[in-house]
Parts: sequence; structure tokens; C-alpha cells
Amino acid sequence: MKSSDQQNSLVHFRFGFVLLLTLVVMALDVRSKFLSDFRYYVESALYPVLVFADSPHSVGKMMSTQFKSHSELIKENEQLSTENFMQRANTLRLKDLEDENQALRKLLNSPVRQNIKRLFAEVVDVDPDPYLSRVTVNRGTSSDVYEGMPVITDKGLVGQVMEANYSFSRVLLLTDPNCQIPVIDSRSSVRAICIGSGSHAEIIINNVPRTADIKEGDMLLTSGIGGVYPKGYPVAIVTSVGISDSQPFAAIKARPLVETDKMRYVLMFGTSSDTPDAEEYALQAKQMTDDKTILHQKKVKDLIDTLSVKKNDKNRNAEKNEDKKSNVGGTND
Amino acid sequence: MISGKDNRNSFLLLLVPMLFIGLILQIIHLPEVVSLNRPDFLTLIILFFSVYSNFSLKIEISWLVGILLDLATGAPLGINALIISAQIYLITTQFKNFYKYKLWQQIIIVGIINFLVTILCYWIEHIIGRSYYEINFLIPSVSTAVFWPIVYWICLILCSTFSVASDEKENLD
Repeated sequence: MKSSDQQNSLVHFRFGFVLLLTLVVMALDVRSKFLSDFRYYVESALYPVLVFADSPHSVGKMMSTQFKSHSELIKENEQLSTENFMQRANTLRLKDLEDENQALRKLLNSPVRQNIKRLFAEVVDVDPDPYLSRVTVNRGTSSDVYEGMPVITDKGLVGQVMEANYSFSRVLLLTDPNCQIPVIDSRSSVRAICIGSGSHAEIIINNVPRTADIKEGDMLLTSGIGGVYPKGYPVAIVTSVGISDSQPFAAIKARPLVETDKMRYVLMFGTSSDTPDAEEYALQAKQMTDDKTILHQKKVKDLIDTLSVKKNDKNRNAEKNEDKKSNVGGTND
Repeated sequence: MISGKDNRNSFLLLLVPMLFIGLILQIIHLPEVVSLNRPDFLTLIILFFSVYSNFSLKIEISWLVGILLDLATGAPLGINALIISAQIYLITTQFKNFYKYKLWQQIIIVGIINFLVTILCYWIEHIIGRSYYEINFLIPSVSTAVFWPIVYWICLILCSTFSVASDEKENLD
């Protein structure tokens, strides 16, 4: 009896120790970034387990592609090539529009957008913690993924990178209650902030006055304010606008355009580290918040540019004059 | 059950692969309806082995497995470790004759303990500020309780197949 009692008391002691350890580990993990290195390395080492857990889905997909008939493949190929042709045509126009936009932005003294690096990634089909709305994608710091990197699909915005490990990263979905995205109504240009509701089919827009011009069916785009998400990407469509006299704000709900539970491929956006202007671009997010300073800086820069151009012109003119004189001298001789 | 204990294999022969399978089952992608009500496989597997062979490091092993689950799912470090180790601790210390109970009694105990511990951990997650209100606790606990006999019988069959040594008490006849 004594030995079993001792064992029991030891069990209590051991559980107490484990409980204490849990609280310490949790506090260190959540409140400080003390364990982030540990997490980074161990999670990177656990990546094969995630790939193994994803294998039923990937094997199923492989099998379904293997058993596609010849006619189906030809049909799909034709459809894709048509789509590709149309998109190439659109891209030609896009290039022209980009140049025009850049020229117009220069005229308005607005900062010109730099090259953005896009990274194709595949969703690793494993379920995260049920309390969190996140997905795992198969690109990590080895592919220059960083925390805060915006993620999109062909339909719209998905969210941003929350945690980047060596070979995979976790993306915080726009439906997570911790995710807040600055948006703009494409019809009326009303600005708002949308917050995830925890449900994959709904996001909420709080703190919008009842008089704001937001209607059912409006498209919400990213406004680019805050500097995390690039401007102009579709986020959601307004599904309901609840206005009651007793409440100061309208209760607006919207449906995200991306079906986050079904998506398989995503695009990750980032500033390219290869371009020399990367640092300049990184600074622009902060600068954009203060229009006056940026206008001032831009004016100074333009002034310097014009002066230097004038100097160059003067130099060129002087060179030309010299050339002319020499030519004239040459002919006289 | 079977005589000649010296020839039996250690429970670790089965525990380690079963824990790996449990970890995969916890993170594998399932349809949303199933995924939200997913039973706590790792707890059930560790509970079986702690009843079957009463190994001494059950709390520590369950904590470590929970940490692995946290890392694999991206949860706050320690939350699943607490869930699993608290359940094993409560069942093995508060219900010392758990193995003698009838199956329906075991199911009720597993369900209630799982429900209580899940609420405790939801509370902790809420203090951390990582959770939201629209979440159900009851159905995952019910599914965990319902899966207990299934996991129990599967593990028992595997133990007899691989002739794994059980504890001295004749608990699983």
C-alpha cells in the first residue's frame, strides 16, 4: 500500500511539474518570442510528418489524373490553351496600362510601385488547430517567404503569412478572428476594416456608420492602407447590411470570394530581394502614411532631377557647340 | 490472458507506431463536419496503454506527444500537451479501478473528462486571446467517448497479435 501511495503522490508531483512547465512554455511562446527559434527548427523537422499526412489527398489526386481519358485531356488542353491565349492578350494590355498608370502616378507625385515578386505555392492538406483558421503551404524561408507576406489566389485575397518555417509556412486566413484587413468599397470608395468571424463563409465589418454607402452585393477590395496587403485585390462581397436605430453602427456581413477550405494553390506576394529597389520599396509602406512628407521629398527629388537634367543638357549643349565650332573650323581649314 | 510473460514484447513496440498513427489521424485533412468533431485519438491511445501496461512515464510521454501535436498543428505551444496529460492524469488517479468498470461507465468517464479538460483549455486559450466563441465542445467529447471502445478493441487485438506484455493485474480479460 505504501509503495502505491508513494507512486500516487509522485504522480501528483509529476503532473504538477508538467502543469507548471506547460504554463511557462505557453507564456514564453505566446507573450515573448523566446521559443521562436525552437519552434522554427522543430517544426521544420516535422515537415515530413505533414507531407505524410497530406499523402492520401495527393495520392488520390495523382490517381484521378492518371485515369483521365485521352479525350478529356484533349478537351482540357484546348480549354486551357484558349484561356492562356485570352490571358496573354489581356497581359499585353495590362503592360500598357501599367506604364500609363506609372506615368500618371509620376504626374501626381505619388510613389511609383516597384516590381513585386510572386511565388506559387501549394496548400499542404493538413488540419490546423481547430481554434485557428490557418492553412499550411509548402513554401518557407528557403523560398524567401517572410512573416506578413500577403497571399492571394486567382479569385481574391486569402490572408497573410503568420509563421514562416524553413520549408513551409502557415497562412492566417482572412476568416480568422485575429485577421483584420483594410478594405474599400469598389462602388462608393467607403473605407472600412473587415474582421474574420471564425466561420469560413463570413467576415464582419464593424465600426461603419449607419449612413455609410455600403449596399448588398458591393465588392470589397483591399485599400492598401497599412502597407501589408497590396491595393486593389478583391476580398469579399457584401451579403447583408443590418441597420437598426438602436445601434450606432451598421452590422455588415460579407462573403469571402476565396473558398478557403477548398483552395489548393495560392500565390504569395513579396518584394523581390533581387531588385536593387527592394529597400526603397520596403520604406514606402511607412512613407505612404504621411502624404506631406512624401510630397516634400518627391518635390526635392524632382527638383534635383530637373537640375541634373538641366546640367546634363547644358553640358550636352556645350559639347554640341564645341563640336559645331570644330566642324566649322575644320571646313574653314 | 496468455501465459509465459517472459516471451512477451515490450509495450513500446506498439505504443510508438500507434502514437505516430494517432498524430497523423489528428492532423489529416477531413471534411469540415468530421474535422470539427474529430475524436481525441492520441488521448485514447495513451489511455489504453496506461490502462493496459500501466507504464510509469505516462504523464511525461503524453505531454511530449501533445507538444509534438502543438508543433504540427501550429497551436500555442503546450495547449494540446496540457489537454492530453491532464486527461491521462485525471483518469489514472481519480478512477484507479478504471479497467474494472463496465464499458458504458468507461465511455461516460472518458467523455466527461474530455469535456472538462477541453473547457479548461478553451478558457486558457481565451486568456491568451486566440479563440473565438463559435465553437462546440460537446460533440468532440461525445465522439471521443464513442471512439473509446473502438480504439480499445483495435489496440487490444494488436497487443494480442504482437504478443505485447500487459500489466500484472488481470485487467483485460
